Amino acid sequence: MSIKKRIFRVLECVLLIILFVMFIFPFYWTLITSVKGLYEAVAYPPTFWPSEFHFENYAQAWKHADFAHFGKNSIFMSVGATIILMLSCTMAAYGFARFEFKGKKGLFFLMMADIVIPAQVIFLPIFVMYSKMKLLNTYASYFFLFVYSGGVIFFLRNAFKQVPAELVEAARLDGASEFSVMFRVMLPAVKPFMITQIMLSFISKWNGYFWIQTLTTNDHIRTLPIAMNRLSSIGEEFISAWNVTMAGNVMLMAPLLILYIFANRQIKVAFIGNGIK
Amino acid sequence: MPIILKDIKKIYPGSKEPVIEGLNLTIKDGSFTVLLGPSGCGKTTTLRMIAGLEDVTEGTITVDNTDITRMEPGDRNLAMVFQNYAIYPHMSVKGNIEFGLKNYKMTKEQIAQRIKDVLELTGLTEFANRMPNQLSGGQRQRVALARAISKSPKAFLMDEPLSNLDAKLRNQMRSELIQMFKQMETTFVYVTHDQVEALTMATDIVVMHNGKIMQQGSPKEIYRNPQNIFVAQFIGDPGMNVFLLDDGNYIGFKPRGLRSSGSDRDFSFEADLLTSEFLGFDYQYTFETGMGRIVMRSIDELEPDNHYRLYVQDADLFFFDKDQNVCEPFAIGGLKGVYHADE
Ligand SMILES: Nc1ncnc2c1ncn2[C@@H]1O[C@H](COP(=O)(O)OP(=O)(O)OP(=O)(O)O)[C@@H](O)[C@H]1O
Ligand SMILES: [Mg+2]
Repeated sequence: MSIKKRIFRVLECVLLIILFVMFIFPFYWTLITSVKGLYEAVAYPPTFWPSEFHFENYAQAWKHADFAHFGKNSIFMSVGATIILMLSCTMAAYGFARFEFKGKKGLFFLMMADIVIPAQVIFLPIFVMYSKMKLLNTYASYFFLFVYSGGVIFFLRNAFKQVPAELVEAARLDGASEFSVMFRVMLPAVKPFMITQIMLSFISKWNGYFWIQTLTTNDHIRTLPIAMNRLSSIGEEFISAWNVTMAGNVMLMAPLLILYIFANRQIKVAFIGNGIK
Repeated sequence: MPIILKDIKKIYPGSKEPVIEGLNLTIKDGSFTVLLGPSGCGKTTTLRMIAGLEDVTEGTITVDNTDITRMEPGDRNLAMVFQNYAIYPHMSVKGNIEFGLKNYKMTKEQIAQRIKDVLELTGLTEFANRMPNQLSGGQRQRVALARAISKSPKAFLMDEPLSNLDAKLRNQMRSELIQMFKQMETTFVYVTHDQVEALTMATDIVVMHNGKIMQQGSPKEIYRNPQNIFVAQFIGDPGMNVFLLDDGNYIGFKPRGLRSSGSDRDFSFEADLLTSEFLGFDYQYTFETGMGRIVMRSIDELEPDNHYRLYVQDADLFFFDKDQNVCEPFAIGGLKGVYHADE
């Protein structure tokens, strides 16, 4: 190995270490703070390893943030919204990718508009509409928001477009029905894209704050991220219970981490094992 | 029973000009029919209309006396092999074959038996459970063939199935296809722009140009008796030399019909030798006649940079009328220039 190459490798390693620390440190900090005592969590200078382990922080977080109620909401609403979103958007994307029909251009334009218009612009009319329809604080009001997403449709449409036309034609010659073509040929061919999109959708619903905060007036359909607010107000006078807050955050993040590890392997298998050639 | 295309016209959506017009073609039952022609002449379009993958603008297609013009591709009982194989990437070799059979009224045992038979026939038995990305190009094309065979179709439609393979594999697959054809006793419709493929495999060649059929016949007929200048110049390696005459008619002769010596009775003209290429068995010479270039294939060795008188015997001359169709021999008048159909 030449000297130049060696220097390059060293630099590469240093850079990787810096990046690693930058990304891992917040995780580490959250994790150790979550098991510190109330005072140690806010002590200065901070400790990098807890002097005592307070696992009861987790029980406290669970109780104060009412994980039983909000957690149930989080799971039900994230899973439900993701299923609804994927079902409707997959079919819409499939239609845009495969068929010619009247008004396709116009519809496509509307769909793109959805990508450009931020939620902050439309939440007020939606709020008014829901309130008049007496839909506020109902699960339905939340799910209605996700029957449609321009971004997801656009992404999946492009994925479908990449599937060679001959595959569909081969299937048609094999006597496959339109449904069979979609579910047995097209969907498996875009599996990595589907998994990616399911992941992204689920994560954004799980972490979602904006819509739930703006479209609810009570706790009935609120979710964990909002419940986290309650944790900072416990503790003693002038001292927020950072340890309990962090314990809550760890429990909030854990499902996503598990999901990521699982899906990451899936995505790799899908991409490497079944690439479209 | 034959596949009959009657008065076919095809206009692609969004364009005004038809790519195919007034096409009449009978593909004989049990024939190995090759659609041959230059790029863009409409071979693929024709094949896809037979398969049902492309709408027919006007005209009818019948198979076994059944009008299939508007029938769903899956109901036509035809199998197609694509240039890029088009095997399902997420299904095993077995799965690929099974997918089509499941839509037939067959029992599980019948399907399993059929899969076993075709895998054996195509030499894929040991790869039954492999995924397509674990196969070579040749093996993938074989899977596509196996999938087609498994359906026992009325006809096989193939669109340049060998063009993605390297030369050696192509030769091998070519002979396998010929063998397959002999075993199956089914109609093959095969698209290619490679005349060697056409001449070696076909029982019937259909030469197409600009969406029209220029000639249909056996390889020998096509090669020996071209009906018009286009076919004469398209077939052969290289194609026929053609002179346009003062009276508007044409005469032609093959590069192998041209000689460097002859008698006074022969048709002859003078030319300068420009280049010579040694091709192993013989030479290919290019001459400048002063009216354009012509090509000669010969085993004779010629001196470079020389001036020659070149001869064509009567038996080697082809006569074409003003419409460029072959005609009775006529007295040859003055030469006007060398003619190329594709210019
Ligand atoms: N989907 C399409 N839309 C519009 N025009 C098309 C379409 N497909 C083919 N064409 C046109 O139709 C003509 C015939 O095309 P076709 O693919 O049948 O040619 P081909 O003989 O198979 O050529 P090649 O040897 O290059 O495959 C071409 O001029 C082509 O540009
Ligand atoms: Mg083609």
